[in-house]
Amino acid sequence: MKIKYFILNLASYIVLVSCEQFIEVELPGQEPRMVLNALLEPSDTLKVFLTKSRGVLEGRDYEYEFDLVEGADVYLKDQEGQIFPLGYIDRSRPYETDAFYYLSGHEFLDDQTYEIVAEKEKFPIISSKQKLPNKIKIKSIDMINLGPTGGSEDHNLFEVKVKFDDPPGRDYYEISGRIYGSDILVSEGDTSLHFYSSDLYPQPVNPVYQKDFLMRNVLLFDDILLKGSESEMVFRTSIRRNIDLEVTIGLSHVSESYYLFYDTADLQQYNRGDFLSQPVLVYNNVTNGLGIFKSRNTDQWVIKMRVGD
Amino acid sequence: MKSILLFCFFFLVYFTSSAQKITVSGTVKDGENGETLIGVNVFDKKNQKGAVTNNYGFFSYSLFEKEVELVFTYVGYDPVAISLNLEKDTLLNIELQQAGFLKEVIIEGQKSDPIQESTLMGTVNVPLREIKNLPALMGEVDIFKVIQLLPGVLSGSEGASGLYVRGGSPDQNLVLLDGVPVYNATHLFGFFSVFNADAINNVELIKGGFPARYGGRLSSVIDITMKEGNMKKFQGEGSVGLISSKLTLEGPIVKDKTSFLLSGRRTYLDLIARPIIRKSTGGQEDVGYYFYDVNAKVNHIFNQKNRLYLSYYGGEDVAYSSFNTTREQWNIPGNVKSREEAGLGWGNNITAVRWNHIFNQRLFANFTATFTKYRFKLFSESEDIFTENQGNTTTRDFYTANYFSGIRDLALKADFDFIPNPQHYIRWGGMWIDHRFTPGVFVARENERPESREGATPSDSREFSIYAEDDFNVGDRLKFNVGTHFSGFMANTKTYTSFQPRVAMRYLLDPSSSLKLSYVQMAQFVHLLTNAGLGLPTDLWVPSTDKIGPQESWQVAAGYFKNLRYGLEFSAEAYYKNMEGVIEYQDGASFLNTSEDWQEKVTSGEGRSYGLELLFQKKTGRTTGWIGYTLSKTERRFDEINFSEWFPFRYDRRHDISVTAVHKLSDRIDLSGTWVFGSGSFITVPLQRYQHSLTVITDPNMRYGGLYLDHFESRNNFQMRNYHRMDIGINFNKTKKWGERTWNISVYNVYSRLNPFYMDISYNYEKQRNQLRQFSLFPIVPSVSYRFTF
Repeated sequence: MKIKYFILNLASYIVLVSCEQFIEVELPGQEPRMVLNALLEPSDTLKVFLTKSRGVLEGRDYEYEFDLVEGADVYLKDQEGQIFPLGYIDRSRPYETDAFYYLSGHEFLDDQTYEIVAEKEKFPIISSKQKLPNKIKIKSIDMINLGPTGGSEDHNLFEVKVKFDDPPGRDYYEISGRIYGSDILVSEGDTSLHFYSSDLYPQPVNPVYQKDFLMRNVLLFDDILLKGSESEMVFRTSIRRNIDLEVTIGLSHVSESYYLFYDTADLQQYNRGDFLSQPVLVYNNVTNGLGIFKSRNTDQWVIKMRVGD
Repeated sequence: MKSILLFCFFFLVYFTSSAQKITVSGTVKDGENGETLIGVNVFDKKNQKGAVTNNYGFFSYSLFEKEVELVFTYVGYDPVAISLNLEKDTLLNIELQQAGFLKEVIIEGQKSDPIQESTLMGTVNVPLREIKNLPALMGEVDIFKVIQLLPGVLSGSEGASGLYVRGGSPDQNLVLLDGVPVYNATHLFGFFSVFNADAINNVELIKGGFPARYGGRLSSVIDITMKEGNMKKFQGEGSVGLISSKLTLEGPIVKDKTSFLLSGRRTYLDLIARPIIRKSTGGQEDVGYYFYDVNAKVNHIFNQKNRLYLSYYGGEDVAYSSFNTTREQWNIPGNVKSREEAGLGWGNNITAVRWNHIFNQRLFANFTATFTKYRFKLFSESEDIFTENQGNTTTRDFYTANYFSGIRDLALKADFDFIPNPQHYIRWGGMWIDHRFTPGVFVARENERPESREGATPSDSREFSIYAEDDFNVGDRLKFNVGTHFSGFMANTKTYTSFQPRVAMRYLLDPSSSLKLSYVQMAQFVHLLTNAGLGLPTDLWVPSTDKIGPQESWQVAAGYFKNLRYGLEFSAEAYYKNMEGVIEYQDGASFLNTSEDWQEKVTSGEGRSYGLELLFQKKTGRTTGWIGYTLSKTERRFDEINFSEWFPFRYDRRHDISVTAVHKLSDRIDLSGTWVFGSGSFITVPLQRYQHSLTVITDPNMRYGGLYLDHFESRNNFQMRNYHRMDIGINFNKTKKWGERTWNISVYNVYSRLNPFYMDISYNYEKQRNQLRQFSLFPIVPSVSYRFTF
């Protein structure tokens, strides 16, 4: 009889433990951290966005709104150690957060390093440094008309060659652009003004520079394959026919942080949901916190053109 | 030319110097079944010198003296002593008889060359007899699972058979079956190895101090020799388990001349489940999984100098599902018969032809021609046949999609053993391999449209190697094994070559203990692209190319070896291993993306591993087993991963302990148990979620908004729970009229430890927050199997 009970108990035990699907495991490092997002450009205003991160065990995927860090002491330190406090503005509306710290009327100089420091009680002091890259001038832009594109009836394909001097050392670049146009149409006696606007959508000729995962329509590249003063980037883009256009092409000399951030953040975003893909670590340059302080310096050319049939 | 002349001179000196000597040579076999015995100690008591049989049971002993007193000893066998007065070179074929249980010696069928004597380091002869007595998961005895219990060898995930040797990955193990590489050595998604223990004669694991005759992989050699087949009488053995059954038959075709071995194994979960599934789905659905393997071998002794072996292994795993329906068409009166099938299958085919030739008493040669093929197929097929009610016209719509990958090798190999005198054992040889890689091709076809193909095209590469080594004594205490392995690989337009020096040294402290040192360099020209390290059949074997170079390593090791009394052995080894050219998927790479060339998805980097391994082993007596402990650290670094910082290897396991014991309670009952402990493995888990800068910084080129980022501290930043588990087993043996039977009852994971298999983060609706969940695979799993021999 004892054996019978023993077997019965053993069987019950096996059934019970076999039904246990999973166990919950503790994950350390869930305390919120201060997140800094800022872009340094030679403009007259610097905006610094401060938010709080969330532990991954908190909340749900679609809750992409993050709490603001208000009342923080934020200041900018220049290379000489001068300190410039930032003001705060909150223009948020329901369901639309728009608040940031700012410094206006300041002249940001090429090749100078700036540090943003943010202090807020209950958080460690965070800081991040960036050097504003010098502007790299576009030497020339050549556009070759390759004829009508295969996919669109009213567009022509253009091969664009942007030439510039790549200085010695490791440098990073971004090419972006916009196309604006307007046209007056007269149809059955009515006159109407049409506006046209589009991104440049640069597609590199050399597939090495192709990054499908980028979330903006830009070319982001480093100078490993460039040839110094003979450097050029060749890309293709489609341009609408029979309309007066203003094509703006910008060559941004970007910092390494800028490059690494978009190279990793956009890849992580692109792969979200694919559980078979390798995890992507996003570049972060904020000491004691999270986020990115990045910089760029852009030279722009505007080309006025009209492509006929 | 100079080197060839030097080489000839070298051998001339040897032959000349040994001209006055007398040589005793021959083979040593099991007296009961004629199976050759590997590693038998041949000791001349009179002259205090000796020899050891090689992998084909051959030995050669040369001396100036005429009187010898040879003693042949092998664990589990009665020793044989022969006194001879030699006048000329003598051929001596010895048959050893298995020792009886009354002498309280457990028959293990393993090498008896004492550990302190050999120059070999990091080498373990896996006790096959113990494998069969140990508790087994679902009653299925597995060689790889036992190898995982040895120090320096780590298992991957729960239940998986992958081997991680001294910080290496599974692709860095050269798994040889009768000298032929096996590329995917696992069944059932990695839970069992492809090796049927009933068909195996010998298993040797080398983790470091590799002799020059081995090459092609960085981390280990697992040299598995199939049984040759009983030369004396017909016999068989088999087992019936919960998930599979197997049967092995062997016997003489011509007594003492030709023998055969045939072994088969198949799982039957699919056969058991099929009627239940069909009944529950009205015969419409069928889902199943099975694997099978077949081992076959024929060997023929032409004469005392020539012997031929032909061996074959074939195995396959198949997982499938099918769905059949018939429905009415609503717009045009008629019937549509639909059939949908999908599944995956993978398997190996291996063939080897080997010719043993004894040129003379001191020169033994083995010539091998091999073929090995691993293929993986993922398939999906759908078909709709529409039959119109009026007019009886029939139309057919079909779509098929297949994904293939694989590797095929053809190889030729020659190995020579030259034993000029007891002080030297010289080996040299060479190999040529023709590889064909098919790294992932997707083929689709729809109705009459032309077939569409996507993915890499098959590529051919050639690999070659030559080696020479000498195992020699310097005085009574020092012994060296010095050699070199030179190998090359012809990639697309590049030829990679690698010169690999190998040095091992043994210094006898006293007759029972020694110190050993070794330094080896290794090179590997093939890579395995793997996602999760689970031994999934989707893993791809790829060659070194112009862009992705070979893997290379160097390893130093030092050890202390002690042969204690009562069959006890103790060894302590410390090692440091450096690896270059190891590959890894880049951040964000997805292995199912066939449109992208695999070379664009990987990056190569470096690895390092160091540690201490302790092994305390008892080989004879009523109680046998071992206690192993490994303290180690393993890291990886890649320029394009983890921002070029070092990070822990996924299976960087600081502590690894295994305790294994088999106790013979009586001649009818054996008890066995194992306990393993391992520090938790590493995975990459996000810790924080934060705002993407695109959502706050106005940018004219912005395409999306409302984004967030996951923050990972580093690659492999989270250590899972420690792994530990106890298994126990009991065997009831009984002699029957027809042979012997054994009932084996095993309990896997006795205290039902929930060990980590994988982890995920998901939302808990009750707690209104996310949670990190650890899933376990096997709680307590009891099993029973029935074994028989006749």
